[in-house]
Amino acid sequence: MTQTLDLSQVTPGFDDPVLDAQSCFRKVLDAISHPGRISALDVPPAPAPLNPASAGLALTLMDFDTPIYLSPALQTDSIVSWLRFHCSAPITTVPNEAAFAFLQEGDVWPSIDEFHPGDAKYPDTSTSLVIQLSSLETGPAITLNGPGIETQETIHPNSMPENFWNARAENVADFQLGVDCYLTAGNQVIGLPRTTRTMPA
Amino acid sequence: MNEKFVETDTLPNDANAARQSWMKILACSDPVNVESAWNSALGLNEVPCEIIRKPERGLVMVRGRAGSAGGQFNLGEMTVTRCAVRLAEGETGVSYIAGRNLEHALIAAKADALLQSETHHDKAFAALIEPLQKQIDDREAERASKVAATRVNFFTMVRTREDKK
Repeated sequence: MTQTLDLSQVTPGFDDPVLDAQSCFRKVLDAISHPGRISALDVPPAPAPLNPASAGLALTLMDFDTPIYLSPALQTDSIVSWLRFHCSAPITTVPNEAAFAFLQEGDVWPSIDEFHPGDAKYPDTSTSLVIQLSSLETGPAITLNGPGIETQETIHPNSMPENFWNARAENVADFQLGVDCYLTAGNQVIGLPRTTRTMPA
Repeated sequence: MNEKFVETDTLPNDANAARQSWMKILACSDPVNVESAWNSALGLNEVPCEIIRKPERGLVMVRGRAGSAGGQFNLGEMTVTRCAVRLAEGETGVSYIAGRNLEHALIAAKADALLQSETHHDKAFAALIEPLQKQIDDREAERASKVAATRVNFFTMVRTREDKK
């Protein structure tokens, strides 16, 4: 009935939970409203392999209302305890139930269609993907355009799965349904809302 | 499991019983008494610890259950302050305190951590828990005696044997 939470590995969250979360929120908002632009978040270290930018998203956006899906490499006791302690968020193994999904580079991810696309009345209930990569600046170029981008923007995320961009394009073709993505590496984050169109350059 | 019949207020009787009892004493004590006991606990109040959750205030929903077996209902919200700290040796102390007193929550969390550590337990128990327990007992005894002074006894006339038949 009652789940015990192992606190022995939990590291501190924001130094000032209110102000730090607000400034982090502002940066995340900038990232998602200017797709392709890299924002750097200032976040204390979280248990590896959760990177600081992903941890910042968790501390800023997630709470007891937002079930979290974790890809296999992130399902460690220390990450689960950390998320439960700081965000009070339930952890789910069903992609469709998740409000946020953390996907680690190198893991096998569920297909993008398994995540919740939102529904016509509440498109905001879709899953947001937090994709952890080794770098946002050294991979193959991807060209972006759409709302929030004046002409076009180019990003270089490393090691994205090959079929990801096609699957995403199909997923967001059903606008206003579709998943939003955050690409993270280190303390950097790129927002990719469902409105952004991508093309391999 | 049928959630309806899960006892939530059973008395502690497992491995956590001792910890639950000192956490309760720390939480139920008057903040003034907690602070003065802490300040006079020399050597203990200087043990370094890492704060993993600064004292923070929030609301919790208190839920009730009619007749202890009925459906749950929301009784109302109450203000709670909570805190979590960790000692260098690794013990993590946690506190949940009714009210908005940040200092009380911080001290209770540190005390919980110290009480879990083998090196500090005995000293912390003698310096903090014993005096606080005594103060709670005194407070209860005083209240009980004040209440007892206003007690009204209702006597029922004992029936005679004839009445009973």
